[in-house]
Amino acid sequence: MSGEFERDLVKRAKKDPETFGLIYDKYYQPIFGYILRRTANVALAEDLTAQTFLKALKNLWRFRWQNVTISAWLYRIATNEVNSYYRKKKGFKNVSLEEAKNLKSDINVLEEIQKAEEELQKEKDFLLLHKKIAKLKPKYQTVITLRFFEKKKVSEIAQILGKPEGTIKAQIHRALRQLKKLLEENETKN
Amino acid sequence: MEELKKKINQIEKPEIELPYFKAALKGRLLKEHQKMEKRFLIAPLLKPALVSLPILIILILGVLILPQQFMEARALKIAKAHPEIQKLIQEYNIRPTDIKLQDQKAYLLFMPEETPENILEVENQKRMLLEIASEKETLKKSEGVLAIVDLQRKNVASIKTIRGREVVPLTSQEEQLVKEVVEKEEVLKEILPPTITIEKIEPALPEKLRLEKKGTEIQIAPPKNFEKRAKILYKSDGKRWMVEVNLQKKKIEKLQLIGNQ
Repeated sequence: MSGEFERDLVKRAKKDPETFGLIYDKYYQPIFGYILRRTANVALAEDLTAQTFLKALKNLWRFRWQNVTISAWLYRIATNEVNSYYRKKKGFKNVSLEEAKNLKSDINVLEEIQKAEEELQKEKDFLLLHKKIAKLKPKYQTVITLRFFEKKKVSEIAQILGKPEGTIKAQIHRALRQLKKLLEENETKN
Repeated sequence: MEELKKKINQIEKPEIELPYFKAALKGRLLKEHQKMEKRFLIAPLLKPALVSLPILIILILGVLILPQQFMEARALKIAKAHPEIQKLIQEYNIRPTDIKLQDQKAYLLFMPEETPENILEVENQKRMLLEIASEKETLKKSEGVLAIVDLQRKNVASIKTIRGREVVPLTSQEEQLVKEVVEKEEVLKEILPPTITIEKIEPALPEKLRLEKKGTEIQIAPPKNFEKRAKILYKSDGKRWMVEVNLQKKKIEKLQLIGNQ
């Protein structure tokens, strides 16, 4: 999408729910996927995705174009939501399905979560790696996820996080170094 | 490091889709959007209202308050220009203390300016009894003046002396109480000649009177919680004295020689 088109889309989305619906349809899956890969917890990913889009909607009315794409803007909100959750929790903890049940009343959604959780548990390699990534500082978790799971370019990550590309490159490098150390420690133990 | 990058890239990532949740969230977001839309539709209507509110207040002030102040100032100017009022101001040191507007008329209350007084100090204080000649009537034994200014004709319609009995009348019991208080006071017997006789007993006007709107009328009212006082006037051998009694405290507060008859 061109910058001009996106600008127009946001402008229309402020007044038109259908246009906002279009933005949601386009970005729901990438944002949910990103949050899921950050948290490795379906119920939590749902909650944080809902918070991300609600925040986006509320801020849409105040949205001023600053050469940030809608995608980058949504990823930024999602990142803030996830990191804020980590800060409040002082380290990642799995949210039980019981807690998720309180947040969702639709039986279909609950069944869906249960099935998705089972599906997620099959991704053993990912979960093992995620366990190690989760030990990193949130800023390192963010850059690793965006770069290697979401396949974002350094320039895109820089736009999402509002930092210079050089800073992002350095952060990725430090994050990988720390992750490598953690994985090596794990291998030594085994 | 390159090996680690390769490893991370090769790991299969969860690609989970939640259609029910996606639809439920969309519904919630659209509902929220409608709520916000309503709020923001009202906002542009409120904005000019909020901007125009101070202007409206200024206009109301301009229409209601400023002309009132202007009218009061004009009435005061008219009253002060009147020769009778000018004379009272010069000779008896009266000052405007209150003003009220009613039916194109301004009611101005003039009262003698307060001066420090020594109790039981016998002096000729003319200001306690005003005897001023006017064109229509003679102002006698007054302590204040009410001037009514006709704002349409731009002149002083009337000048009335304010009498205590009109504002704070005395009951017969109060008059009796005054007599009892002065009779008990030994100092009075030393100062006043034995030949004195009571000329009259009248209520003393409170020093701070005010104008009060009652319906369509403007009335002179005493201040709230004032202490009622009475004056007893004595005469003897062509001389006159005034003794002021505080009825609440039941004691003499002032004795004055008020001049010759």
